[in-house]
Amino acid sequence: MTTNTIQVATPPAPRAQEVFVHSAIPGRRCVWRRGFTLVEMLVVVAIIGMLLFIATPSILGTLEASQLTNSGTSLSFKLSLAQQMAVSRKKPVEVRFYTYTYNGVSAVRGYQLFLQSDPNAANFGLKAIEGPEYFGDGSVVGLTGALSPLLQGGGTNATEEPWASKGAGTSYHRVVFYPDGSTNLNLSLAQAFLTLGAERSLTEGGSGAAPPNYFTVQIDPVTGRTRTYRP
Amino acid sequence: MLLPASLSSSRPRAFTLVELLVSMTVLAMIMVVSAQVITETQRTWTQGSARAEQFREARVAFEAITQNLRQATLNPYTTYLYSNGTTVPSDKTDAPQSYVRKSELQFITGRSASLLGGGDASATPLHGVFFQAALGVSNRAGYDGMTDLLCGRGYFVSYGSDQGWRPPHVTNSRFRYRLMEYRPASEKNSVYSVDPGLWFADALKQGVTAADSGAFRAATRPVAENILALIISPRVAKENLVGGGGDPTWIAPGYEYDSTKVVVGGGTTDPQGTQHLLPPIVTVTLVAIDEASARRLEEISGENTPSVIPAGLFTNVANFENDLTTLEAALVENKLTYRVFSSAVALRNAKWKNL
Repeated sequence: MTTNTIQVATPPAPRAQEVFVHSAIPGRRCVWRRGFTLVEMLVVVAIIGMLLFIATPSILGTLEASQLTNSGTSLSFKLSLAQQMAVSRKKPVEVRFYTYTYNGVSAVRGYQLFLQSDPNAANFGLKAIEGPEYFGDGSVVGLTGALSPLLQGGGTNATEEPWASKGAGTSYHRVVFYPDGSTNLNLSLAQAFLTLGAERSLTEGGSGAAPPNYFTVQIDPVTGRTRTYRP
Repeated sequence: MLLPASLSSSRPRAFTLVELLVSMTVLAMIMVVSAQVITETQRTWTQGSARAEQFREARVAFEAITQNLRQATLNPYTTYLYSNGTTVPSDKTDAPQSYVRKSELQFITGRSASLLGGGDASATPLHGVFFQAALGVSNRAGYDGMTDLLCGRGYFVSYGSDQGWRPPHVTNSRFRYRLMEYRPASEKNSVYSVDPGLWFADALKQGVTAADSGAFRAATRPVAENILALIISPRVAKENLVGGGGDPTWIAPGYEYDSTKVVVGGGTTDPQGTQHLLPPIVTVTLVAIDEASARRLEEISGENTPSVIPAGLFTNVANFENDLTTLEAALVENKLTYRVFSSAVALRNAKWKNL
């Protein structure tokens, strides 16, 4: 290679169809690169739309299932916490399941743990152990009928906050854990359970038919132990 | 259009086939790698949460056993023994022969299969323990306040289905190893009315069935799932050994202890030996497996008891460590995730010093 053959690199000329340049033609100020046509855009939007349409139900289903799992797991944890607390503190612990109307649907949507601090006081000297717990963000509810024998029958009107301010007709069903480990449930073990499910399973299917996805929490009336069942 | 006539015919350069193939290959590789990462993360997550959840149940059950066992009692007393071998003289002239320790209650440990008898011995593996304690269980209305009623209580492991207590809408049954609790109500405590060793004999038959109701409570109830083994070893404390030496397990060298039997040893001179005495210390060992492992076992063996626990284990307390190692090796070989809980429980009512 010799010195007189050095080539000076020249910058490549901008290509008119790729960059936005000033036009040499007077009156034509700018040259635009070619854009997408309407048809192309429509096809792309249609494909995206179809993909979303296909994916949405499964994504929603996954979200719902994970909410159900979280609600059920945390309920079974809280119930065994209530049982252990009753044994360790030697005072009955009451768990109240609240029914109230949300988005126009009345259903069991939350619960709270209370300590019966004094058996002789009015209302057993009930003291809230912790704040209210809700099933999911409203999409998970306690199912009715044969799926939740624990929640059968008319509830008791709720007068304590924050439940009372959820509107008229707010009521509760209760389960009491006693210090000897037993409960107030007068049911057989096979009937002592409640089932959580998606809100729409309240209306879908017949009463007593299990929805495709559910979370059943069983409470042994004698030992107070909880056990969970999934499909 | 703003395009000059000279440019309108020129078209943007398209991708070549090679470029497309390369980009698709790269994309595919990235997707394979990320899918693997996601699957791995998910598996770790589910395994971790299943393990935490499962061993929580085992831990709670273990605490319940130790807490109740600690309260075991025999309520012994000393009385005269007459020539007819009983504590009741045959007539007014019958002179007492000796002054002995006596109790109608019983504390017994041993192999569940021989304690409970009947059926498939492998369905009730390893040990069980049955005792009396002031646990206050009663099904009678108005007895709620009597929290110190004397009750029988027992623990053993059994393998079986949940058919008797599964909610009606749950269609698939679960065959599992379970820790069972025998807890007859105080009014059903037959320890005074039958011979020793018989008051718990039908514990297996009193399991929860469809007959269980608010008015009739089955006495044997499942307290924890996926408990594979319960090992109970009664022993004495170091300070109870004559001269501070010797074997602390001399009271139950074969894991078998029956408070109604006369067992003499350990350098003591009491002719009654350990009769009507509670062991001062009971070592409770619990082996739990996680739900994923239990499901795999069920898939393999179905309703038959899985052959996971090697035969002949835990029959001689001298081999305890070896047996535990063998059991753990068998669990590892079957790819079961397990955890061992172990604790020495000091029985509060054991008056061993009087020996």
